[in-house]
Amino acid sequence: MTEEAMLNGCLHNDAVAQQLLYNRFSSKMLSVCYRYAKSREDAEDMLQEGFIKVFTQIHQFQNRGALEGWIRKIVVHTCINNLKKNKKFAESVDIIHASSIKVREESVPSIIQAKQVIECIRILPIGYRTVLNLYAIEGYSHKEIAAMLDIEESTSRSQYTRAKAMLEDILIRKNILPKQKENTEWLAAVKP
Amino acid sequence: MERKHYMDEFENFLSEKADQYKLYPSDKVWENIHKHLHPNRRWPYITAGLLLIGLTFVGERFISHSANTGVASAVNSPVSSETLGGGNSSLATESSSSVPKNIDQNRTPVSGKQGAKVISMQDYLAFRESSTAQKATNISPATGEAIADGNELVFVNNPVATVDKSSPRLNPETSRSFGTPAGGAVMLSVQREKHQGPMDATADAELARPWTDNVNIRFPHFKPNKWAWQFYVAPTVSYRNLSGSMETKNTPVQLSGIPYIANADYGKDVNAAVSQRPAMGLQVGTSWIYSVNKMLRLKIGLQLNYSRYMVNAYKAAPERAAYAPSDPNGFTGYNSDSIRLVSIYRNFNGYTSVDLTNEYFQLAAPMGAELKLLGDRKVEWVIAGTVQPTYNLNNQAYLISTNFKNYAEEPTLIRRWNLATSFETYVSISTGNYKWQIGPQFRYQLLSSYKDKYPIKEYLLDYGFKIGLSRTIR
Repeated sequence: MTEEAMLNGCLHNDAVAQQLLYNRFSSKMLSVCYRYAKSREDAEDMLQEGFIKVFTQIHQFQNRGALEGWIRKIVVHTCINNLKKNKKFAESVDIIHASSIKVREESVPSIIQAKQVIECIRILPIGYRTVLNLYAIEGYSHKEIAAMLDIEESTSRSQYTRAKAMLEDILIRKNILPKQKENTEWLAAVKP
Repeated sequence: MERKHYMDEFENFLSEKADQYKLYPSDKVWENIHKHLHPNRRWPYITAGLLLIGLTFVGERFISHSANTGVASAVNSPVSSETLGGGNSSLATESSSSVPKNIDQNRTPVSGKQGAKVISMQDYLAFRESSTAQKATNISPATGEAIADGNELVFVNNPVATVDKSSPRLNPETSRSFGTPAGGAVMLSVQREKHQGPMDATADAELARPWTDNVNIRFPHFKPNKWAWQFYVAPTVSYRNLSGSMETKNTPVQLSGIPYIANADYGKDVNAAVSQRPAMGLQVGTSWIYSVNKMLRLKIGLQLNYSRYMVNAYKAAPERAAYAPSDPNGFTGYNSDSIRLVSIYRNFNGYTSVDLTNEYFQLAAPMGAELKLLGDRKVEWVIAGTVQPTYNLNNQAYLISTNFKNYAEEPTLIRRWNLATSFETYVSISTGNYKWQIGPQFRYQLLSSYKDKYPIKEYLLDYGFKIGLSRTIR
């Protein structure tokens, strides 16, 4: 079935077309939500909210870009809005230094590397994780991230730098990344 | 999303891994999304229907109660000279001048159930004649009993109470009272005390006077109960008539894109192209019935219809289906103005057979007449017909595509307002104020279920067996 026919059906609120669109993108979008959410259940709630927005706003999609990108944008914004409702997130995203974290073998399931990487990202403090997700994976600029999260652009940059360093260290410790460089200064804070 | 910044190796690595990672949501997520996008409106309508029926029932009870209260208030209210017959010849007025204190002070309003004696008009007339002839002290045994026991005479349909016999000043044997409430009521009250005293002579004189001089008797007007309220249920078998074809005025439609339609007749008659079967439905309603005369009754009401039927189809890979082409030259489909839907059901040649249920929830306002053909007051044979403006509350209808190839839902093509008619015949049996009726009925939808731009016409049929209970509103 072509994307055009599916979109047309969704525009007519056709349940079959809506389900086809959902089936096509839900797994990818759930993994997006999962990177932001605290738990799988929270991720599914975000996904549900995101897709409801997708279907109710589908008339705004004007075929200018990829449908997946448009859906992803809505889902990411839904995730961010959900996170912003949480007070802890607001505090966390503004902190300069995250407290140290313990990385233990059992905290990272060794199923496949992609899953390991995602789980490693999820170990990061929520503020770090969000900025890292938005910048490194979703491709937003620091300016956009600052606007989305209501923080300074410089805060976004510093958060990202620290998040990246922390994640690299975790990935090295988990043997997902090769040991190519020495520990950075913040790694001293990371207790094995 | 397009990258707006330079990505180093690490970021590329993260992005790649993130893209590789997939999680599959539970079925509940889609169910919730579907519920949100396509809310199930059945329950609100069913609830509204039940509420409507409940309100009707309460309303009927209220009307009935009000009618009774009207009588009761007439009974319980103090009786004025006007209510006692009106004019200047009221016996009550006369009585009040002769024995006013006893009557007024000792009259205690009681309801008809509180010991009132109910007699017929014939008894009353007999009593009146005998009383006139024999005077109060020599009344006939029958009427005498009525007076002595209850101190009151009450016409059928107009129960009233008058004198309280508990008063020590009254002798039940010699006190009489007739009364009806206002509006065609008759009430006269004569009382004589056996006690010695100055009143005796006056009272005897009053009783000796001809009654016709004293009482302006207006006989009660027996109004037939013209209104009745009815509740009914009718299990139905629903089906549909289809009409319309793929043919244009002159040119047959190109069927080259539909290789599996081998039968050329499919292009001529949609009935030949679809496979369907009836299913059970239900009608529930309430009516107010007005008796014009003994033979003819008019009725108006509200009715909830649930009609459905089954369509045999096949599941297939999703494909595009055209509906309601605006091209006047025919059903060539896929023109810019036609409605195109995604369909996963085929009329033929799918990978698995499936039964699609088309169902309609409608609210109708039947208005019509009933004609009694045979019968007496107990048992009747009646024929009836109604016209029913109908509003489509909700529906699930799979429409066949204009090339007869697919089925899909398209709510925008369903007509909201419609018109139906029904015919029925029934036998009714009366039990007191209630009347049971049973009999077959047939309901036919006069306008197509679909809007005019959809070339196929559908007319719903309901064959039902109606069971009704009606109650006379008094």
